[in-house]
Amino acid sequence: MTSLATRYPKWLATPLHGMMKLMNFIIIASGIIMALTFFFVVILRYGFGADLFAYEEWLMIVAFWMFFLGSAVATHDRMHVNADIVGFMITHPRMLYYRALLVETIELIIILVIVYWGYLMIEESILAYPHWQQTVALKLPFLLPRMGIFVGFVMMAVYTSLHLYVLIRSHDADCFNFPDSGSGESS
Amino acid sequence: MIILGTLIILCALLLIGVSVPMAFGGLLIFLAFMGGHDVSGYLPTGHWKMNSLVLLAIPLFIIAGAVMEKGRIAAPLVHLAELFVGHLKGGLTAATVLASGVFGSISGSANATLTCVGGIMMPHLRKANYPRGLSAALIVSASPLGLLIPPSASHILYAWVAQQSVLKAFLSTVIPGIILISLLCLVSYLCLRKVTDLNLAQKVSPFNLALRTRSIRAIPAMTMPLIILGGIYGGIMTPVEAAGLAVIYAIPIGIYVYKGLTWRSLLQAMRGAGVTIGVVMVMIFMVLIVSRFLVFEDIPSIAQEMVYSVSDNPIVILLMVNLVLILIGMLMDDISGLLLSVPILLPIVVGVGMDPIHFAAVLGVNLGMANITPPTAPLLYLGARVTDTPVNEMLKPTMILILFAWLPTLMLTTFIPELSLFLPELIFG
Repeated sequence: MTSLATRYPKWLATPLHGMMKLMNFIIIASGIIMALTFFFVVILRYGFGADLFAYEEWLMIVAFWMFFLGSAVATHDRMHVNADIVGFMITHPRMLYYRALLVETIELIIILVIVYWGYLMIEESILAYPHWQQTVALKLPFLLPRMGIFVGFVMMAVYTSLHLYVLIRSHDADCFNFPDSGSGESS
Repeated sequence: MIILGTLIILCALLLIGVSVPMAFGGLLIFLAFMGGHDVSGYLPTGHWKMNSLVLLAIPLFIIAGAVMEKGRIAAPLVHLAELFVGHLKGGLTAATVLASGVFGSISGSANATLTCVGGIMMPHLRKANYPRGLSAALIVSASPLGLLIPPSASHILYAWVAQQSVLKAFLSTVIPGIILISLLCLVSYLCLRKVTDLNLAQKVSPFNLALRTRSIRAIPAMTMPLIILGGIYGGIMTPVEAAGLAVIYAIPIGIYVYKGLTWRSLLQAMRGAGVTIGVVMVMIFMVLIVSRFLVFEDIPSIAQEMVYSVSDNPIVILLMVNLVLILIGMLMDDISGLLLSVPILLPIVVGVGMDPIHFAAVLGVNLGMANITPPTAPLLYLGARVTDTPVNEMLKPTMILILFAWLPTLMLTTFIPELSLFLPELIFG
């Protein structure tokens, strides 16, 4: 089973593999928690005439972590949606390579700027302590979901820079087309 | 200046192949430079806007679709439809369309519908000697029915952005969905009129044992839309709760009844769904920030003035709106197209007297069509993989189905408001 991890520098492969396992675990667990929560909300309402108190406050934190780690995994798997009309029109391998290089570089610049904005968001949230923003009922700090957003963007930046590294090393625009790159690190 | 720059930057980034969320990120950088906004407010704006329980219906329907896909829940529905119409010329293509409509109503996902129904129907269509290109094109063209037949994730999103009733938005596309089903069946039948070597199945009597067995086997799958839609329209649960229940119901059905799912493949399905959710929700996050700042820059009013300066005739304006939606749909996926176009186009169409629920239907049909219209056409490329058919073989029949089934449905939906408003008004007054 080939995966993109085989193209990373060796010293990076092990921690990235561990990180991927952790992200997969969080994504799967979050999905199960979300479905079970709504199931129990309905059961509690009609079976016991009760409400699950302020569940939306902690569930949204779980959801934000899931969304942004899912997006990081999607960056690793190159699953994000794109139109790529120019890519269809170019047939020359060299031009395809330069186009891929341009796209990866642009994406890396954009994601690094977004990571900086994320840093500003986290900094602002932390500096507001002890008067930081929190949820109404359970007093959960907004820093928790925002950390999920920030970590997700950081991981997207890590994977985008690794894609650029692999692209530069391989000199081939087709270097990401593994038969099983999507699930290579899912186990 | 900003509106022109926005269009140029977005189109340029999308055309060279930058991913949709990053293209919107690039647009935000441009807006930060041009508008002089405080950039520390960008991501918190996205968090604030997305911190809504209603939006959780989208990931839950994606998970439900993934679980149903792995659980082979579509198979009994397809086999039942096949038994009813498989003996007729064009019967299998009609069964494909009908099964896509029914499965779409269960999963609310075009991707899941395409993979499930396409994966099952394509071998049957090939065995019966149906032309490969037409079969694959029909499977692809019918898969967005999942976006039209409720429940639909894009309608939840529309209702949330446009501040409309989710239930009314759901109902707005039911009649257009039925029209589309009829037209897809008719056009595919007409395409088959010169094909003479089809291997048709034998006609089955209504008292046939196989029919009864397959009907009974389809009951757990058929129960799912009853639970979801009955629960929502019966006022028993919200769409988000129904989506959560759909996931919990689909797991034992997939494992113990249809035996397509194992605990291991369930985890794989959840992981795959998580990645799709990441793709969709980060796009929503970025587009929400962009649309917030486009509104801040008064772009909707500028766009409205531009459209009204061309013509104040409602028919011309609605045609222009449709054209813009088709172009948006050709460049980006349905979710980001919806989020970007609603704040800009809704005031324009409301200005010419269109009901926002009517616009939900127009948008639904438009975005469904955009999903199969090149160059982006995510469903077309997925369909090519699922059916193992080259895209170029699918292009001509796909264009025929777009021109003679999708486009007439879009025009009827746009210019006959009763098609979208009849059911919401009948049920909710």
